[in-house]
Amino acid sequence: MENIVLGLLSATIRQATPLIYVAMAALVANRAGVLDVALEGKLLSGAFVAAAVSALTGSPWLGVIAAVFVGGMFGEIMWTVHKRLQVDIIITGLAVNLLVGGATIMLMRIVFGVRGSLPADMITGLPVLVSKPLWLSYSMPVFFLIPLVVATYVLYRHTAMGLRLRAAGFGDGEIARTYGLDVDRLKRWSMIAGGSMAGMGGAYLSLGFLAVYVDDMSAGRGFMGLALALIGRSRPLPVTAWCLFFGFLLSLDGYVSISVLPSQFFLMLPYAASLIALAAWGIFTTNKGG
Amino acid sequence: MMDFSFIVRRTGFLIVAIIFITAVSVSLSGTSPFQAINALMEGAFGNPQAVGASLNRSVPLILGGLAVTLPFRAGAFNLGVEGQLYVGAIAAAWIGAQPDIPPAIHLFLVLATGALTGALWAAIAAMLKLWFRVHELLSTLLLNYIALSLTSYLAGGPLKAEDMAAATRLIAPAARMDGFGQLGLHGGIVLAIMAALGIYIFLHNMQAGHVVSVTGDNATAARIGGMRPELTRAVVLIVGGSLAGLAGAVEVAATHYRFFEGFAPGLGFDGITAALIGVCAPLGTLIGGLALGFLKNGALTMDIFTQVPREAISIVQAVLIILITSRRLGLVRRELRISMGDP
Repeated sequence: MENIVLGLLSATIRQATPLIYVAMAALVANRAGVLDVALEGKLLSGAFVAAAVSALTGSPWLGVIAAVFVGGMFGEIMWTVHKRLQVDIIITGLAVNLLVGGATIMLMRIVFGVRGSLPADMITGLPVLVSKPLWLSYSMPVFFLIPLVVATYVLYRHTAMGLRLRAAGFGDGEIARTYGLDVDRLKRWSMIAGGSMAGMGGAYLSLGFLAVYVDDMSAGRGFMGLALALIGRSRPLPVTAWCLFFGFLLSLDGYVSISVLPSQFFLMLPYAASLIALAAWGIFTTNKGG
Repeated sequence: MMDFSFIVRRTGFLIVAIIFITAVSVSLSGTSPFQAINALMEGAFGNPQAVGASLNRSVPLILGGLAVTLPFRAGAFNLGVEGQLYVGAIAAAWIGAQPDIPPAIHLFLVLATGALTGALWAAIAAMLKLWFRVHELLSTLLLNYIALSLTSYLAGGPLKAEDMAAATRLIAPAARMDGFGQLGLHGGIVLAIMAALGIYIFLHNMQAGHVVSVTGDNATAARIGGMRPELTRAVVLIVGGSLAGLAGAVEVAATHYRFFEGFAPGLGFDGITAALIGVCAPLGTLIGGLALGFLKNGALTMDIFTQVPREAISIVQAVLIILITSRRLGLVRRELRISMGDP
């Protein structure tokens, strides 16, 4: 019995980790006034880049660095396209998702000559940082979340820079501009930071536990993270708590036997839960959009 | 007012940009860009069968695109085309396989069931918006994944055919849409064109359509004029869902004759692309769907005869979307704005 509880706990944490990364990325974008629908694409690109670089160089750490970099790069590209070409940011996000979806499949074929998934023995995964106890043994990205979440919390709540970032994201930035803030630069860096976080989350997806990469590996987790950031009102601690809960929901798939409920039910559950949570959130707030 | 050189310059820019991006991505694969484009065009319209196949491929894209376009005109954003398409498809496949239905109405039932189911699926998002104020951008997106899992379960479980692993039974011959003629076209293209024209006429010439347009342009004005924007948006969302469901039904009836897991990956999102390329206008969506259909079909041939994977087309899609919706480039006069207020 104890083993099951601990097993569920580690599975929860492993499932929640990429969610927290994406939700933090969504949070940062939200604070900057952007609804980042490209998180799904950034997550997937992080997973692919990390796996590919790890396969090509043999070093998972290079893979992580590359994934973080590419994620941040996408954030920057999105903002530039939005600002310079004046494309709606949500449309830009959709385009990024499309591009990443196609490019990952294409690059996998061109660079590795395979379709569907990368052979597991090609990829070197991230090493586990703590060997025992078992429920504490995870790879780096999990532990990195702690300083990340704390830093985000402190940044937005207690620092002048956090105040500036929040001001830049307020309304259309007119008030911030009046006070002399460089709104464009603040939003741009928010997007880059968010993209990097999503990239790290993607790296964890492919390298963090098992060293796998499969086509479309992100499976909607990017959108889930987006929903979670909204449900948690873009505040780091509530958002993290929600991600842990959803990590638990996601981990149920491997723990309840198929004869009780079909496995697809557990795949549906987190998304349905997101919808229910969004609906509940809607009851208690006045919605300015839509 | 129509500055000819302006148009030529802007169109030329578009074409050059696309060619450049394609060339870069293609040369990554070791094929010469010329070979690749040649194969692409061959596959798209090199012979009558190719043209027919391209047109057939456009059908779900046009319908799916219209599923985005119509709600957009009222200010509702339907990104759930994929899910609506899937549930419409599986429902259509189920009805199509029922043995005791009179052949004369079987096809009609198949298509109607698909449309109805898609509408019901969109209704979930519409109700969530109406009752709980959940923005449909996210809810339709999330519903996609729920639909994927649900249909996957149904195809592998209750609706499974005896001889297949995760697919439904073949639909009856009377329920199929077969191609005929030299081009091998099936009736779907007629449906798609009629739908596009119908929506155009609806929006421009009918009073109900005018309500939709006003709601989309200025919801406040609509409310002052006595309309109810929330209700309008909910209704168009549901109608949009029916179009997506219809697209799924057509795919089943004309192309696959059954539903199986992963039967049309990304088709819904390609429909969204078609709508965006057509700047969410009904005739534009028609053109966008056709263009995308030809591109996709050509990409298949390109994939077979050169080393360029067909997914390279997704890059072209993304670039096309950005170039066409860019207000700075001003390639198309209509503006596309989706962003909402503070998250």
